[in-house]
Amino acid sequence: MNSIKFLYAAYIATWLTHGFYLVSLVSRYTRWRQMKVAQSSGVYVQNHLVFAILVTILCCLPAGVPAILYAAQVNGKLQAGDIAGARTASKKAKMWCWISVGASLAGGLVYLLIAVGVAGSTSR
Amino acid sequence: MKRAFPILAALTALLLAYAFYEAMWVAPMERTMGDVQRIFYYHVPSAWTAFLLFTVNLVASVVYLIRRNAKADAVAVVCAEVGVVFCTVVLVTGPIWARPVWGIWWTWDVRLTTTLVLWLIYVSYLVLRRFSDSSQTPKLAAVLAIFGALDVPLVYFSIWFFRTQHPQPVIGGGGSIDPRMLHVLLINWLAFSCFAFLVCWARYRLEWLHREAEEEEALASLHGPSQ
Repeated sequence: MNSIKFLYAAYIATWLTHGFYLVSLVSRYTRWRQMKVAQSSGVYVQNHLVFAILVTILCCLPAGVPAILYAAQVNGKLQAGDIAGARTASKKAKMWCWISVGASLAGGLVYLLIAVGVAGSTSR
Repeated sequence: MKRAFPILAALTALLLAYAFYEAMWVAPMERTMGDVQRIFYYHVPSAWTAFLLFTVNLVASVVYLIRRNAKADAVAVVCAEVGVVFCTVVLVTGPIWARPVWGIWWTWDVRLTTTLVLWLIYVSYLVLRRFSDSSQTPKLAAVLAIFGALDVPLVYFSIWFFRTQHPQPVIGGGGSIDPRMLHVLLINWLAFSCFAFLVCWARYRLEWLHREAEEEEALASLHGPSQ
């Protein structure tokens, strides 16, 4: 009986549910922070923090970490009045997010090709 | 208070890791179901935590109706939201356990149906809070919360009073459990309760930040035209 698979599936489902909720809390907090920063500086620059957290967890961790680091710099730079710096950090955060997405898609494609190749060679 | 949060978060993470270790490797294996029975160690604590949160939501709603206390209203919203997350875990892990044990994902038995109804009532509560702008919303939500809380004892005692496909109670109601299993179950409940408390704390803080921002915005819009 492969009941262990169901056990792990239930465990993963439990923490995915909690994980999504925690990400939603971070997202709401980020929106509030951005609103406050926009009110004080009069400029709105998107920080992509939630996108960065999601790609770090779900896609490619090595590319997700710089995305989070750049995303975390945006609000601080805006508050310090460094609007150009905030925009650059925002752009870099977005770029690393998409690199993470691309890397995970490329990895998945390579895995799929290898899996299909192995399945093809064993069936012959 | 700001320092206490990361310390408590670290302690809770350690407790959750220990509870996971106990559930996976220390608790004895159940004879008929095998390893899949270990889902019990996070399905049941999640259910108890959800019930606890819905009970706090009930108390906070009653306090709000009597005293019109904004803090009680915030506690009610927070507990309902986190309670729905834990109830979702119950509704997701239950069918994953049922598939290998019963051979089906879902059946409309009393325990399962009343739990689904409980989840739907509190989701309705959250939808009401989210999309209604009326000043009467907290009052209406408090009444709905009292109505929803009536379902909690119905869910809990359904397996005592009805013949259900859901397993019979293991604590009370004539049920019995291996003391080692009970120990692991209680550790897991403690870990999940601490986690729920932390999440509620963070969510409560966020709720206040949003309420303050809304108040500021309302004040600004009042003063705006005169400037």
